[in-house]
Amino acid sequence: MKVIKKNEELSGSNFDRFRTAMVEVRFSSARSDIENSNASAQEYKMLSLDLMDEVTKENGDNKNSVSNIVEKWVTRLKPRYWQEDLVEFCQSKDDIVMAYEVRKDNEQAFIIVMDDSTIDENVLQYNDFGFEMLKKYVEINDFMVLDVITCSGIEYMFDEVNTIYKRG
Amino acid sequence: MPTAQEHKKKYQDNKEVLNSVFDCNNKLHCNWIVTISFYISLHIIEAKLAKEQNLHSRDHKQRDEMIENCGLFSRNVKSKYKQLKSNCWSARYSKNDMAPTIANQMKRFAEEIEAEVFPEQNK
Repeated sequence: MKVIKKNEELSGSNFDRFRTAMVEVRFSSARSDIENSNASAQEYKMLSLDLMDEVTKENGDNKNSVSNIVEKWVTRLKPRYWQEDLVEFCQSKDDIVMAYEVRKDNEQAFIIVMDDSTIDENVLQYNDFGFEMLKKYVEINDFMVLDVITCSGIEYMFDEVNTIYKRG
Repeated sequence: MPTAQEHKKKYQDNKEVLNSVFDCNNKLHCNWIVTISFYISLHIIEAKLAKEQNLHSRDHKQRDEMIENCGLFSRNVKSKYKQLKSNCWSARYSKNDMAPTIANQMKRFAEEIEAEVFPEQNK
């Protein structure tokens, strides 16, 4: 009986290790998927909440560790809010028609589209703003200020083009 | 790597071609006027970097970093150069042609960059 009990303990211990390893694999895979996704901050938020609900249902003891992981993700995602700065800037200017977030070769940039880029004062001011954004957010690699004519047909130059502002 | 003098010669040669061959009112010329204006400004920038700090860039990205960090150029020069670069890129790759108004503006931006970076050239 004594031997059997020992085996049972060992078996339980192995199961715990196996379960821990599986959880790590699951989280590692999920983390990788999230890192490679192009979801918006809002979509990440929804995903985090869903994950927390799911894991809390599965195992209440894991709630705190999951909260910590989610908190780290959210902290890391905060720089994505550069789009909000850009939208706020565009909203404050009457002659900005659109703003795009573009990606190519894993690099991220934005394009401001004006009604008319031949107005020196405005086009230079928007370039100044672009330089400020480059300094403020390390994940932005470049920017361009164009107008409705000069930006026409540029989509094919990028892997991805997302509209993040459109004048109402 | 080209010297400051070699960069100067390059942008002066480009200027001569721009002024003698191309016409801003001719729509067929506008894409090239924008492109040449950008390369004039590029060689002005390179000449200054080479002359003042013996800096030479390998590509556009490295040049942009040098422009930002060298402390030689005003915000005015940086923004005009950036706009020349953006429009040059658009002139080559977008489906629409540059308008004469933009060609004129880019030609003027290159002249203004030269006037600020090498004021002695215009005396």
